[in-house]
Amino acid sequence: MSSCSKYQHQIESILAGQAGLDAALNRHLTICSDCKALLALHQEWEPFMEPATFPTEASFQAMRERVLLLVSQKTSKLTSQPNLWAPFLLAAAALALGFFAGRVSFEQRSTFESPNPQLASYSNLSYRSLPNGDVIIGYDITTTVERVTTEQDPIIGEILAQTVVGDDPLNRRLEAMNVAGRIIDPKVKHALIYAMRSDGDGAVRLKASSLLSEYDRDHDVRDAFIEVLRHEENARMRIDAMDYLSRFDAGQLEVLMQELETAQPEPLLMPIREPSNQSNMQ
Amino acid sequence: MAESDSQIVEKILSGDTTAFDELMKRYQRLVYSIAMNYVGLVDDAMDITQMVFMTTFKKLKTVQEPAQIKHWIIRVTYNTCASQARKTIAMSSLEVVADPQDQGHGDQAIHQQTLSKLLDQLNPKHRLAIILKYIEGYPIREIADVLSCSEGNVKNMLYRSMQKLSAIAQ
Repeated sequence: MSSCSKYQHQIESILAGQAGLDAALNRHLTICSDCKALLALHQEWEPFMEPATFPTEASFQAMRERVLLLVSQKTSKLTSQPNLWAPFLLAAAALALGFFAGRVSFEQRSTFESPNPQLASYSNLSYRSLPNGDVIIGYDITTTVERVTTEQDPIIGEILAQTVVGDDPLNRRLEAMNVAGRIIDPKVKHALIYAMRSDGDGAVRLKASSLLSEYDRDHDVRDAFIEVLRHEENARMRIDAMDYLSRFDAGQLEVLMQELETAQPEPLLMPIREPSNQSNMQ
Repeated sequence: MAESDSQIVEKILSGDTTAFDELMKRYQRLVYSIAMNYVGLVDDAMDITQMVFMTTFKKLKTVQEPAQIKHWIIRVTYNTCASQARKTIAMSSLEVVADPQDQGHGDQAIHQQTLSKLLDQLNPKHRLAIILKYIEGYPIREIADVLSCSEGNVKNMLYRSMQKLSAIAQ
């Protein structure tokens, strides 16, 4: 293509849509198959300009939703500087006051709202000063997701179970337990049993006991209630245990009561109804 | 009146996710179209589109000229496609080639794949120039902005690319 260099600039301009063929180039094309092929391909493609067949808007929307979900936790990092640092400074100031007052430990945990509460909230804040005056600040970011689903959705059981045994405020835990009473889910059951046996709050233990006493025959619940009779001092829970065990196996309850009377001459609470009467009533 | 790109970018940087959704709506077809001409497969092109917008969000604060966000997004798309192409080459011996009929929309998808394979012969930058010129219909000046080079360089790229492609086509 030795003579082509003479026409290269013109061909480039044609490719760029900034020039057309002239007589000299036309003559060149009659003797140069390479340039002819190049311009033929250009002419073939020039009117093409047809983009890919696009997916539906629904596909694009689904993609956008995935992106928004994935980036939602990073949003706070993109907020403007004053907003971003305001809660940190506020928390740092609060912690500093705590230091001076001698009432707040160095790694104090606290929770505060994000600049945009719909997007995220910060929790488990830790704050530490560096010798050069900078600070190290650590925090968890949580976001809220809402979805409509059925009570049978496994995630409901999972979340309820976590709430029952978690660190949420008492009223939230009791609310969760109200819903948990309607859910048949192994995780919920074990959460309730754990709460009844070990929770530090008497109201939670009592609520768990009340809900479990409504369960159908279940060996895990039975064993848990036997433990209640052996170790629990709360009268209401002992009554729940006896009610449940009398429905489950009245004979076993009688044996258990004899065992307890032997081991503990003055039981904390005697059964209100005799097991035999209970079984007769059923 | 539609908001300018720089207004949208400003809103995103102040934490407005609705604005980011608007930005994605504005450029999703452009990103997808470029990606499709690199990878030739619908699902892969959509994955790349998602990756491009993820990167856009993460790196947005580094954009120096918000008014030029479109060109910046094209460059991100190009980089993502080139990066994916390298991974594909590395993985090619492990993959089973998909049936084109399964991946797209009939003849158009097959045509897209053929074009994609043809463009495979070019280096990524020349390929982007060809895509922007012939598929997106961009003027040379805008291609030069996207590729951060002179208009003369773009013309030369197109010339060399077309030279190579016409040789292959022959």
